[in-house]
Amino acid sequence: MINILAILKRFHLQILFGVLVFAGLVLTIQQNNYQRTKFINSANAISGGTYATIYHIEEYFNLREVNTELQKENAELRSQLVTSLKKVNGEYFTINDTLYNQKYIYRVGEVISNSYTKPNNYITLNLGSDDGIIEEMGVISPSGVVGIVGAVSANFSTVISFLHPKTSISCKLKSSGVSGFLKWDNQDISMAVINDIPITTQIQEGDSILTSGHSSVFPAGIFMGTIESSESDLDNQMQRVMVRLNIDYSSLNKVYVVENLFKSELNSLHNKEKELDD
Amino acid sequence: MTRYFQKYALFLVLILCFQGLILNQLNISHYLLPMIYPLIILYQIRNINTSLLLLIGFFLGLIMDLFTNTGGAHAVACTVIAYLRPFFLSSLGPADMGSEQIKPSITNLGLKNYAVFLFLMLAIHHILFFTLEAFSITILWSTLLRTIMSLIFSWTLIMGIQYLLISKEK
Repeated sequence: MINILAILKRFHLQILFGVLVFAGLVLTIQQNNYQRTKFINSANAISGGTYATIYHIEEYFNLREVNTELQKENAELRSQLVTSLKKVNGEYFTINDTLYNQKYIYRVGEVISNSYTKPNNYITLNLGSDDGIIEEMGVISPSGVVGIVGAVSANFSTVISFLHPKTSISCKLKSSGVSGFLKWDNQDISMAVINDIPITTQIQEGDSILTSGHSSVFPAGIFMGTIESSESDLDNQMQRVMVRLNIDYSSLNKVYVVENLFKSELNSLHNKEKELDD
Repeated sequence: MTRYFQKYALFLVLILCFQGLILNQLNISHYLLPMIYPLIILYQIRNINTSLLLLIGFFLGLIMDLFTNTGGAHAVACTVIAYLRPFFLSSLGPADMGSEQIKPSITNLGLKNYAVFLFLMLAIHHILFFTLEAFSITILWSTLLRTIMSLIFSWTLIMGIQYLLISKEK
């Protein structure tokens, strides 16, 4: 007994230090779902039961975090809107997509020519390689996706419009999170289709279609439009979803060219994938 | 003692306000989050009870964590530097070894010693904090850059504050 007291007295500093650091680590892990998974993965002695209990408590902690994230995103979107009205050409600004840890640079450009009545439509912007534009960058407007940069000269660039049979954009249904490729229906400039939604997915009319962020071209969560109708293709076990687009392609004015700073990294990974397949 | 406590409380509030209201709101770059509040732990009389300093560090960090939604990252980083402070101080040693009441500052430690002491303490604090904040290997380089950039800024700022304190001491 005296020994224990002696040890406590001798090492009280180390014990206090250990307790405080442990408490701090627990708090850090509770704060962040991602961090918790990391910790649990690296220290797998923690049992599944504790894991589940912490998870239920964690959900409440996350509510606040999710709220702040939403507030941050709202603020960023608001600043985007203001900027789209007031920024002069050539200036650019950056935002961080905190959910995906991707960094995008947005450059404000003006549409100097726009076609929307042809079967293959293109848009010309007043930004070129001198402004840092390169091929395959995404182009968005405050109301949705415009297209993908197809060719660049020193001062101008040609954008393959969304109204082009070759353009398809990785999108998801807001309610269920199921993703598919959104394509123009080749006729009406306000209509698009998703052909590859699994037949098991419940489709609600009026549900929002958002970009999924799976490609390295567009950030996630850009509102594209709402579901107007759907039909089932029982042969292929797929559903065809008709989408009314939010953006009006006949009146494009200011647009943003999106540069993904992680694109080369993502592409090299995708190439690795292909090598593995071969 | 009361007077000392009053002065310390004022110092604490000033530093926390500067940190919370100005530095945390800067948003210059993703790679820059200067921190001067570790000074509250470092600028403390030499022979302070280490247990007390550990508790001060932990709760100071916890206050920062509450405001920045970082869980316990600040708390851990502060506790660790509060724990390590005596070892660093004894190995660097103040110019005036006789007095135990002195605080580590440029005047007491000498410019070179203080700069090294501050840099090491801040480096440990920043590395711990930013690692806990990120906690992922995939963004290692981004975290490393964030740590280094912030470290340089924090160090410069605190050295500046120390110079201001010198002119006050005189």
